[in-house]
Amino acid sequence: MADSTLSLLCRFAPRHTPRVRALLQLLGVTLFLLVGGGIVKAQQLLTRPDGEPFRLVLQWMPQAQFAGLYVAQDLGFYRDAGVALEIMRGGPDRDGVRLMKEGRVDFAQTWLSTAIEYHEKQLPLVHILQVLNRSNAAIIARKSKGIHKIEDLNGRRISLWEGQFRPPFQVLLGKTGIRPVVVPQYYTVSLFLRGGVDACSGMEYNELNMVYLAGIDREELTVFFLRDYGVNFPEDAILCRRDVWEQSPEACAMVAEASLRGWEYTRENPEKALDIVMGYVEQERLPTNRTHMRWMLQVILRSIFPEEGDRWTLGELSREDYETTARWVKDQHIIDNIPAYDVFRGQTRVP
Amino acid sequence: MFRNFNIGTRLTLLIILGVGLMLTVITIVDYTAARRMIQQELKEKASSLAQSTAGKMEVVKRAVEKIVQEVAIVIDNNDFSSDQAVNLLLNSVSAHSEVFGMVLAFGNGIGEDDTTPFIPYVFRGDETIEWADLAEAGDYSYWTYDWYNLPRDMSAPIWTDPYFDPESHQLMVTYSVPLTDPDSGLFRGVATGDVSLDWLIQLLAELELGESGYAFLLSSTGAIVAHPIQELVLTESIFSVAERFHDPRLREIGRDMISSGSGFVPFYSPFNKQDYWMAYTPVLGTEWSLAALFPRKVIMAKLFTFTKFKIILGLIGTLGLIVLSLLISRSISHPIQALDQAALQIASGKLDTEIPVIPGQDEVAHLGASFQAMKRDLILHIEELKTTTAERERIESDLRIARQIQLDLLPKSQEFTGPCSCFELSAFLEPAREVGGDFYDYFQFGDNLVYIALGDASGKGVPAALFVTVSRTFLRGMIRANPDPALAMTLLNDELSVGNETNMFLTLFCAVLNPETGVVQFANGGHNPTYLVDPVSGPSPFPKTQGCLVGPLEGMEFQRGQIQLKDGQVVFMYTDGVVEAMNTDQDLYGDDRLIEVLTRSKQKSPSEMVQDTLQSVRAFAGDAPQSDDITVCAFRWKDRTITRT
Repeated sequence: MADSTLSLLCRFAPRHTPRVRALLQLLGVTLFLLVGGGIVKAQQLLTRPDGEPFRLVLQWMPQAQFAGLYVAQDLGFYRDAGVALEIMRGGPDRDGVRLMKEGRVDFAQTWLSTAIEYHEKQLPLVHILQVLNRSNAAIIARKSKGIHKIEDLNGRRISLWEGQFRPPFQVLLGKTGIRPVVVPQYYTVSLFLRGGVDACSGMEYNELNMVYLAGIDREELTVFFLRDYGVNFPEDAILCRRDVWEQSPEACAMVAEASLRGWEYTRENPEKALDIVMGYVEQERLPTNRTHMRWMLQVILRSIFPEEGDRWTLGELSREDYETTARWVKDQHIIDNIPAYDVFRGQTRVP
Repeated sequence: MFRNFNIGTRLTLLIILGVGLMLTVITIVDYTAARRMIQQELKEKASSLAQSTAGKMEVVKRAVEKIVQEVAIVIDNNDFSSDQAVNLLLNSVSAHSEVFGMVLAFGNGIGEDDTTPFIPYVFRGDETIEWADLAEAGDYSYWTYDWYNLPRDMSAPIWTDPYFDPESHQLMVTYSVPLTDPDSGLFRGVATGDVSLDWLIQLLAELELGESGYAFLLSSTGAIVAHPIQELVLTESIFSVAERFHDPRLREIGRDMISSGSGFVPFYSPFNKQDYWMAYTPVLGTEWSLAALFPRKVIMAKLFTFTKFKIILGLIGTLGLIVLSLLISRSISHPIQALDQAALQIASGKLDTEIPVIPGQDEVAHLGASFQAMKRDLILHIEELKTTTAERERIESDLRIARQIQLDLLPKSQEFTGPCSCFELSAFLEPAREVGGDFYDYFQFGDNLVYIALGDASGKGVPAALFVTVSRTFLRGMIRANPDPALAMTLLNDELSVGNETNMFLTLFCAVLNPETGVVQFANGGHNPTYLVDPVSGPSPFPKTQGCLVGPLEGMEFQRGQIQLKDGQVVFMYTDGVVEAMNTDQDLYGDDRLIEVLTRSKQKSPSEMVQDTLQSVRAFAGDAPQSDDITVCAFRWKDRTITRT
């Protein structure tokens, strides 16, 4: 802000002598300190009870999937909303639920199904924002292996994610009655690329493009999007510990609002958002590139912002989607009871 | 198209065109061939370079594979304790500098009753070889990594994709071999060897690829493993670059590269925007692909320089040729121009104009000599012509005089009325040349007699004219002495035949009229028949009398004929020039046409009859040249005893 004030002042005094310019700059700095300091004092940021900023942990390493949140952090949208929030990357070395349980983290972004499971089995959570309402999960198969329709997967060796990412695929297999030979899939699609399996699980915004960027053309693939088979799991959701919500529902509302603002900004300025994401990517020295991130952002935005014909509302989790998803999770014996929608949703939206 | 230019310009233009065309063709052919040759050489060099590098990599790869496989065999075949396993790794790593670190991963522990994961990791520390149990780090999900699960799920040894090791800050790749439980034959873990790729990057950097050439390495998924642009390493793949720069061809090349293809292709680097020739070949078995790039600009620069030098040399040569051609053309055109000027002067009559002397023996020198000879001959010819013309003019003048003399020898008047008004004569002579062989003559003599003669000497021109003149003179004298035409002709014949070496002769009709009585005595020496034209009945031939040609033979007799004219009758005489006149179709005028004219003019005066005859002959002959002398003579007798009203 100091920089912009200075440059603004300088712009109006382009023909002044160096001495006059120095005076004007001094005036600018003084103004900034007075006004800026005043705002900070006047608007106290909400923090954790220990005075530390709230912490939000993501599912994974920095990537465009989280662009809106990184944008909100970097452009001060959380601060503008009145909350001090720090975003932590996720990854294989960080168990978000454990961090929440330990009280080291207040907010987490996970899949809705995962959140329901955690809420029911581990610790009470409150759902504060449904970021992705459109499922991106898919089964990616090679045409060269003779897979052209979903039935062709019967008896085939395919790799599927384990744990929290398995439920939607399990629902698909249950709904369609397909019986493939499943091997576990982890962070890469190497097994699929090396021909170890005929098909693998993947997200439209990530693995599908990774396969393409490994030299396999789209025409060589048959892609089964789960949403096309009626298995539309609402994915990324932001949750908070119930105790956090109970203590500071305003902070939760501010996080949800500022996060959405971040996504709206991202939609309007995708290249600027990519700059921010790539900054985090480079910081972590991750083996990815802007081309892939651009693709990811494009698909993610399509899954956040409803278009004509889409049934969801931006940022909202409908009762129907919630109950369908919860029932699917229950059907797989992951949970015994379906948590009440109102409890799970909390009252963050109703003052 | 070049006809409007002079020889020098034409020669120069043709040389520029010809040599320029030749030079262009040679340059293009030469350039193409040289480029192909350079490309071929480059292809061979690049391929051999890539292959030798691939060979070096292969050696390291095989060595590492062997080390890890040996460890795996030892583990599979021995019931090792954890310490023994660690020692095995320590020994292997310390014995093989190629290996940075090794792992033995036992998911279910190493001992029979031990189910605690045991993952000893031996690696090169800062100074010593160290080891750690990765399983002790509680949240280390080893099974989620490719180096663990790929050999498990593929039941085969694998090379992982390259990765950046944050601990050692090195680019690494891991070879991983599945371990098998000797009892169950099931998968029990993996043995791995980590290799730093620093040596590989060093190897690529040291490749002799010439100025601004470089090499890059792709993994089996197209990821960039080594590249002079560090930022691309492991973050980009050839396919993400193709996507980023919207270059479908680059994607095609990438697909071929990761499919173990090899090739030599033109390549455009979107980063430094330069064109290269790129050779690529599979390395590390068939897993990765190595590309060696040579900048086209640098390679082609030599060819361009060489071609440029040749073009400049060619241009200098052409320039020399032009100068030479100008000199040659000038040596030709200058003398020709001088000759041209001289010829114009001579043509205008200045025969004393100097013809330039052209030295040498070539065609132009010959032309100059010919001009000299021509001028000389021209002068001689003109001189000769002058003499001949003078001679001819003199002869023509003589002939003109002779003609005049001959005409003067004819009776002065063509119209003659005789001693009384009962006689009326008209005559006309038209020689075919300056002088002729025809003649007519009349005069009054003795006792009121009228002599009339008409003859035609053999031949034409001067001899005939001389012969006729002599004959006429003789005949005059003989008639005066003896008014009998037959006798006069006999005497004339004898006279002419003397010394007549050339056998010249004449046809002659000779008549003596008594105007008082109308009696005509006549003799005919081989001449055309004479017509008696009666104003009522028309023409009829005179009675025939014997008589031969006059002159060739001595002692010939001529018969005398006689007729009594009636009032108004006309005697019509002519030479063969009339009936033998020819038209352009070579038809003869003939007796019939003459008789027709005479019939038509039977009541006219002799003068009109002569004119009608001449007019008819001229009309018939048209534009045909007159071939013989034409002489016509007619006279009419009127009986004075008849009283006229």
